[in-house]
Amino acid sequence: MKKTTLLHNNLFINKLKTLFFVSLLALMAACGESDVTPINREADVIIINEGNFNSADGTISTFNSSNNGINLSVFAAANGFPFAASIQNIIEYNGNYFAVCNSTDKVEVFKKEDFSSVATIKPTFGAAVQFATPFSFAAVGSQGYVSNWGTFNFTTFVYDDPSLVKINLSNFSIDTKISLAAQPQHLLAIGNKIYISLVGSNQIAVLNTSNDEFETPITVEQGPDRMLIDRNGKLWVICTSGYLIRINPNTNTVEATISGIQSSGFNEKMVLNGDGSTLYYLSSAGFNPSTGAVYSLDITATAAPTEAIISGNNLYGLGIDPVSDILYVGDSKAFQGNGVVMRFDFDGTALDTLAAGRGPNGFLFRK
Amino acid sequence: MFFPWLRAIVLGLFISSHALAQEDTLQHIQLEEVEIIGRLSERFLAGSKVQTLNSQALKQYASSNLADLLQAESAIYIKTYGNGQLGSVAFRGTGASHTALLWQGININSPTLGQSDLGTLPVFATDQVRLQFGAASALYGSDAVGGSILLEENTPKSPFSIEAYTEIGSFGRSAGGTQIGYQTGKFSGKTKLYYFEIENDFPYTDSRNQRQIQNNAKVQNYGFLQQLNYQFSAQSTLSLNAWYSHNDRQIQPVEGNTQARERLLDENIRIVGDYSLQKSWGNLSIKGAYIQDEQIYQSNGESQVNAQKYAAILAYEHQLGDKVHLRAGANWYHTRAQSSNLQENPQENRPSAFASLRHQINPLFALSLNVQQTWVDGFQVPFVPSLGAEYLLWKAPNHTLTFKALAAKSYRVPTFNDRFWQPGGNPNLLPESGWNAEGGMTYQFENNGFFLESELTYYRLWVDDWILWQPDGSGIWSPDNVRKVNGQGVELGFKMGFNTPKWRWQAGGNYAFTQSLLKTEGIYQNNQLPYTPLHRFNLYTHSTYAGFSGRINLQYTALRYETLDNIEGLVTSIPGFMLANLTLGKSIQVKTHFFGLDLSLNNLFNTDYQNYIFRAMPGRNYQIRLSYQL
Repeated sequence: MKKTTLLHNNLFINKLKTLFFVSLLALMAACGESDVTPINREADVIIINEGNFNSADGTISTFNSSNNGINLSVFAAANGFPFAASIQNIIEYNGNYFAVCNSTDKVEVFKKEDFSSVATIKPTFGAAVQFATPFSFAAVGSQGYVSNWGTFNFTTFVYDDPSLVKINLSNFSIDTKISLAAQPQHLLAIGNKIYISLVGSNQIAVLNTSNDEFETPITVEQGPDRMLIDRNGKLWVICTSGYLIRINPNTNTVEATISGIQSSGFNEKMVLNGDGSTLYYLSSAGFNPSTGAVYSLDITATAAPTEAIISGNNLYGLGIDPVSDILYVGDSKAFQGNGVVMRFDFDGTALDTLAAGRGPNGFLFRK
Repeated sequence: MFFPWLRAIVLGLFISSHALAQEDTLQHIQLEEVEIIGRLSERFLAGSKVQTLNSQALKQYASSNLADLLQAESAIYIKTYGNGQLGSVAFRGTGASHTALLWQGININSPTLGQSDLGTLPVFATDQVRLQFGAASALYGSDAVGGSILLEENTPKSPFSIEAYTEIGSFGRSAGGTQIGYQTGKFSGKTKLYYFEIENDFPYTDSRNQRQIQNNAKVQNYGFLQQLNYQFSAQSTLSLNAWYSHNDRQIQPVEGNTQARERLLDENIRIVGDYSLQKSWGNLSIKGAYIQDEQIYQSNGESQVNAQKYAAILAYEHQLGDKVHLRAGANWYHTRAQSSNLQENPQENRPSAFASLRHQINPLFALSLNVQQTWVDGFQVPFVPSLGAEYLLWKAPNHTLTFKALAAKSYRVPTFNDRFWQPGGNPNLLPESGWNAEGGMTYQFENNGFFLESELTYYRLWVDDWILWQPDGSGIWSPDNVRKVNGQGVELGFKMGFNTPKWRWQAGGNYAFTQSLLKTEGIYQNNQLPYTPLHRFNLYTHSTYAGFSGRINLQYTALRYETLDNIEGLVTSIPGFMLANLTLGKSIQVKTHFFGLDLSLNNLFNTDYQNYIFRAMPGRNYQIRLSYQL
């Protein structure tokens, strides 16, 4: 008698379970039809929200430019956990995004398609090769490279031991450390070479990835920072000291130096429009509020622009949609809360403002 | 082993102390009623809410720091960055810099940071903790915007007394302390020694649901305190208190950051001398103090900040007839700081004049008025008054119902860091200024050994020119007078108990509803300030019977927003949490010697929680304590 009751109960529970799963499936299907899907696979604009260093609250948010849908935290929605770090840069490579993080020094690798986590690259405790304020990433083949500012020295106020940390992309493991002569900023892969802007000097280092040996560095102006390749295959670098420099990457020689550039003086933001003909860069200065401006420069220009096309407060991030040439400008709201993203036409005409996360510092476009 | 010599002294005293012959005293039962030299009389605090922390709680938390004590025993929110780590206090939804922390009547807030790190203040080092809610700049000067914490040392009243304890606990915790009091003829004094350490290698579950072991969170501290009193006559006393404390902490990093190696070293010397004279023409109190703070931050390389503070206070108090009490005086603070991060080596003089009046208009109605004017080099500091009133609404044989009200102005002078930090310091800052208004009732009931005390307060406060650090165009953080904040809240407190010859039972609790809204124009206007929980409460019950004792306390902290957005989410808010701590003890008395054994279980329900975002906190943990009293 007891046995049958038990059996009966089990059957009942199984039925309940089935019911539960069916309703869950129905619920999921229903969710899939609405436009509040946890992950908007169609969203074409990826917003990097740096987060506050001390709070480690960096996020990835998305914007769908066809239906104006916004999702404020796609990485956490896709994976069930947050970055728990501040995000400096995200670089796309081979269908994955590589997010270079601080606060906890690490690289989060996740799929471009659905933001699902692929790997967390982080040195084990006490390992010989460590990240030290990592900033950017570039890769050639299965070799990834992460630029590291080094460890801030509170006695001398400079970063000690700046380096590149090499990553084996076949298993996302840390390989070796390559010391650098000065604090590095961005990395750019051209052919089998990695160009490293040494913002703590006046040089761009060039690493041959076939043997990890340095070639002759390119001498530019003080503080080379963000680098881009234009439609003619020329390398542009913006320097914190206020210069834009055009380099021929075939010969590694400087072809043009434009002075009088209103740079920010730190972590420069510069992008190139869809056809690679116009550079846009951000300038920020002052305090409470910090005032910012966006300038544009045709790649054939020989002098710095004098008029900004956009100006505003607390401007922090810059992006341009390669198809529509719509400009995306992040406003950090001085990190007191979430920032916003303002959209402008290529000539600076304001379009609209979007919600974002804390400290929107950059954009990626999925086309 | 950490500082074996100090541990040997503490343990040695503990073990040998019961062998010493003693006179018969019961002074340890009467801890609550000990005279404190040079303390501002409560008669000038009419209308103010003051919470005196229970001496049993001070015993239970003897080895912990002030942050842990206040979290467990009050409804004030304490922001801690980990277990035993940096802890800052926020009264009534204000910020960490809006609390005046006074030790022996001297503001010991760091002149460079403008606040005190409660994590560096061990409970054992202090005999009395009083919390005064609301603005009190008219009494305590700068910083007393949201509230004040008053730490006081008692004066021994018996020829010889000893209190000692030693404790071990989870995650490499060990602590000990000894206090010896002595009094002979006109001379009395006491000596305290204490040490504490915790490895803090506790397990926790990270945001990826993986078990981790906390790294880089070790805390060590030790210190000693010496008090000397000389009573020239029944009317005049000279008293000296000197406190040395050393604190060495690794800074607990964000979860998952296994590379962290930051460390903070604090060394403080605090010396306060008091002379008090009671004559027919009035009471005179003269105070002199020297406070020295040294802080070293180590990571890769190190940065050091040194600060010194000299203070002198002269106060005269006089009773006019039987209805009016007057107090007037002047104080002077001189502070200086040195650091490679500070532009030049800043110095500042801060003289003030103050006056207080209490008028007992009739047996039912009392008023107190306090005023203070301070002058600070380079600043226009507002004149700050406070007016409080108490009215006895109802008095029956067992019942008392009192109405109280207070209005007070407050200010905060920018700190040396705000003004001179390199890079970012802003020398053009204005002082913050605020107003506080509150009203409430206290009700007391007593009958046959049972008592009940309760207090209900509603307050509003306004702070303008609130200093905020934000990034400039080159990414350097800099302060400015940015925020305007309006707050309001309700505070409820109660305490009840009964005593029979065998049983002693007490229960109590506090609740705070705190709304602190940004009023600065912009997208965050009318939003709650970050790290300001809307609700917080604590509850405790304590009972003793035939040498057995049990104490349970419960504390709850509601959700805190990480930023001004007020959005609930994984990285935008930190969930509320409830913690329960249980202490069971047994004490035995052999003649005049009391021996105690206590077992504490903290975080009884093994709650997984964070106080500050991504800073792990320990689950259930234990402490065993042996204590001795004579």
